[in-house]
Amino acid sequence: MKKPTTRWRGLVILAGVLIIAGLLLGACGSSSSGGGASPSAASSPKPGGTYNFPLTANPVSIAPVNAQESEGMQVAHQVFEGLVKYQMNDKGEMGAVPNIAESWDTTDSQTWTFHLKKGVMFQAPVSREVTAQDFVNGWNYVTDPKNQSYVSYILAPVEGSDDGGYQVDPKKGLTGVTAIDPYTLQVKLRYPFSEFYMTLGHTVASAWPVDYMKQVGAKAFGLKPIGTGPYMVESWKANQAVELVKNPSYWNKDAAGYVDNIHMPIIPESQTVWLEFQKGSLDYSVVPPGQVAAAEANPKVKSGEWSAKKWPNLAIYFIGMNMTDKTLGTNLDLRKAIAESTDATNVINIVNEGVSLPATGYIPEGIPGYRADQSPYKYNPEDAKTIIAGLGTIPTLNYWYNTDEGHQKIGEVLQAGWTAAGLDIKLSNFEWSTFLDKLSKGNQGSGSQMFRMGWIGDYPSMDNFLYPLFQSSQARTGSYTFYSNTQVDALLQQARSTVDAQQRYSLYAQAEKLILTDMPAVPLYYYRDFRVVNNRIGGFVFNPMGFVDMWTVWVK
Amino acid sequence: MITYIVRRLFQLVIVLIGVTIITFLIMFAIPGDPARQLAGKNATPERIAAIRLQLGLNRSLPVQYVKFVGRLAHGDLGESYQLQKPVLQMIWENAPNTIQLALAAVLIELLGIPLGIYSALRQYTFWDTTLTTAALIIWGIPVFVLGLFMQWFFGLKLNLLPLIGAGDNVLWIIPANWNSFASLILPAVTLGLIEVAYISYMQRASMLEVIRSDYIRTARAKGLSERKVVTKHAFKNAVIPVMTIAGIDLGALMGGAILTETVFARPGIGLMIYQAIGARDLPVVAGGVLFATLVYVFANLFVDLGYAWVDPRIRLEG
Repeated sequence: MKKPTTRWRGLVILAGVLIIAGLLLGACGSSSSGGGASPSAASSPKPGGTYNFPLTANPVSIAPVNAQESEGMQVAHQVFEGLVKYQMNDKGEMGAVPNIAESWDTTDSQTWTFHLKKGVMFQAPVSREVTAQDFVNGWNYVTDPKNQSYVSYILAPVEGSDDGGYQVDPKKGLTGVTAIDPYTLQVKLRYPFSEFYMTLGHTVASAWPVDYMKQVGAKAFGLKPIGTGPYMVESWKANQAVELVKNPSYWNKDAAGYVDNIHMPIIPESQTVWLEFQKGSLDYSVVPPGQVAAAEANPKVKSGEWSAKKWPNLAIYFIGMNMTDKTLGTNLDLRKAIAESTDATNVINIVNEGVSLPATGYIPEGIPGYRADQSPYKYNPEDAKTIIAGLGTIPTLNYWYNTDEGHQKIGEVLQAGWTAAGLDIKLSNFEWSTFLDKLSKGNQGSGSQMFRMGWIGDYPSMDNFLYPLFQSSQARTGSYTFYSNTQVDALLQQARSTVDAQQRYSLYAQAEKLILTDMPAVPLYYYRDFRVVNNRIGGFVFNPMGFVDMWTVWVK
Repeated sequence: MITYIVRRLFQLVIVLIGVTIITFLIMFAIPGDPARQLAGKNATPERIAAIRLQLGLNRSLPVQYVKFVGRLAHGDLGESYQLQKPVLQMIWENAPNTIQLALAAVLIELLGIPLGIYSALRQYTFWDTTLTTAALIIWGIPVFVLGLFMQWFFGLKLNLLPLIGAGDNVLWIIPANWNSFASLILPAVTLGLIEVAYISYMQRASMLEVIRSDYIRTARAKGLSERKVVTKHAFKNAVIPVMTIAGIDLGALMGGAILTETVFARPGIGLMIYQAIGARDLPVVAGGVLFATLVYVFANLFVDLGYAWVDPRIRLEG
């Protein structure tokens, strides 16, 4: 009988050890981990030091030809510059302001002339002045199909390109772009497009030395590309880190960086990023799902050592409806009822931890010309219930999302609201590329009905949120609602041809209102990014395009 | 012995062919079109078709497979769809960290042998119960959770070790300096600790079986001391099955490395495969799996050869 007693004693002691360990850890938890310097009084920017900014994936590319996802573009944003750059104005709107271009003019929105600044220099070892021919070479390179750029669609409006941004005839090249002289670039478009200049802050359209790339080879250039920006690539070790150093001969003394080095470790797990930040090794962190409230309540946030903030993002999450579907496409009342029983607040509070904002239209705040409360159908579950009751029998509707825990939870919350209004909704999920494939088929095959979709602006323009998503010819490239309205098409076309900004905004707003009245897509929420930063760093701004202008940050 | 090795190497070729076929089938069976993934948003159907053509994805599965094997015979594993980089180069760059991690984890898991023996020799005592219970608890913890705990406790709270990364190596897999070694400790312990639990559990069972056998009873009856009974007679027989498991684990740890390398942001084959699966980057997945298979098969071979050293009665000829 002794043995079992000994055994139990072992278990009790083990449990005791675990409890003591737990208490010790708890005690550790309440102490300060000493991450970063204590907040100092506001002081003026000073040069020197290192800024530690994590990347959550190994970039696909950091060079203009293929920088496409947020990590690669974040790096490229510090190294490359275009004719324009994106900047926030006093009203909190993002806009395109001159950068390498000093000014530009157009009379018909179809032929554009850009006047380049003198003295813009490529980084070492190229160290020569940027000319209009560099833009001609770069744009030709990225739109040449053999160079496999997956972001050249930005240059699709230029004459000589097809709808996807590939040259129609690679022997002729991108015929619409010409260097008139070293400081004058002429661009002819396939159609009038008044906001064309706004697209040119994208990395794919930036200045880079194609001649030098040919000399060192595309692969070597891809690892250590040369731009004109305030920071230069020192090294990129795959899956380890990207290291940037200050460009000592940066041409624009007004925007030269403060910190000497930018250390960008590549850390795929958000939980690990958060731990590294708490340890003090990082100056910026994402917060893992489910920990937003805890991060906001962190003693270091309360004491001012860290800052935690929700930064607006030019992106929208919406519920698309296939307008070629026989149940949804012809029944405006049903679409209206779906919109009125879509509970965005519940989704934001339950799933998104209060980070995002309810969407009241398709265009997020921060885009020049934004209008609030554009949607005529507000959340009104009682009205939705009445409408649905009056519609008779409605067959089960499919709601599709791409496989992801967050999208699933959102689907479940939405389903609860729609079910309460009297609809029968079936949720299904698919892997991302299969999901897109199925959506692109419209009413062929299994046929989509309702689906989730997100749209992140490539550039801060109303056009970028309306034209690709709702213009009728875009059905083949991503308007998965297959929405088609000649009046909307005409308004969008007219807006694209209108040079006067206020008139243009008004036309886009009219188009947005018309689309919302037809309700081919229910706007759910505008994204915001919750970020925690160490206040040992000054000058940090997370702009709505998802970029940090790292030349503005400095170590206190 | 040579015949045996040649035969095993021949089997290796068959295994590799089987693995490439299965990997290909799996990658094609799971949903997802690499061309659409690469084409990004706003892609026209023409662009997706052009990418498909460029990558050779328009060909039938058998044709793609034959082309892959043809290239493989020339030592060419193809190019990453996403990074446009030779897969062989990617494996060469990532393999040292993974082999280093797996070897370190195997060394750690060997601690399970003395713990298992200790437990068996003190069956049903306090320490046996404690060790067995602890082993069961640790064994049940997912490597992902254990990794995060290790980071939090040793990296953040105690601030003893780096949470992430990998340092430089010398001689391909030897940590070049303290920083490099320090960054290996937490991932290796995470990966190895779960196996320590498993090995100690297996070693305990194996030892209990041996010490109850007739020849041990005879040895005791002859008046040999307990120490001699254990070290001269029981140990070698009890350790053989566990050594087999530990050897095979070297290969199995390659699988565990996927999660460990992701949590610890440690560049390696595991992280490479993890990212490639997400991007439907078939050449990288196939190359990575092939590499892991090679490690697994060679680990098995060395374990089998190791038998002769541990127990000369085992003959490998024929």
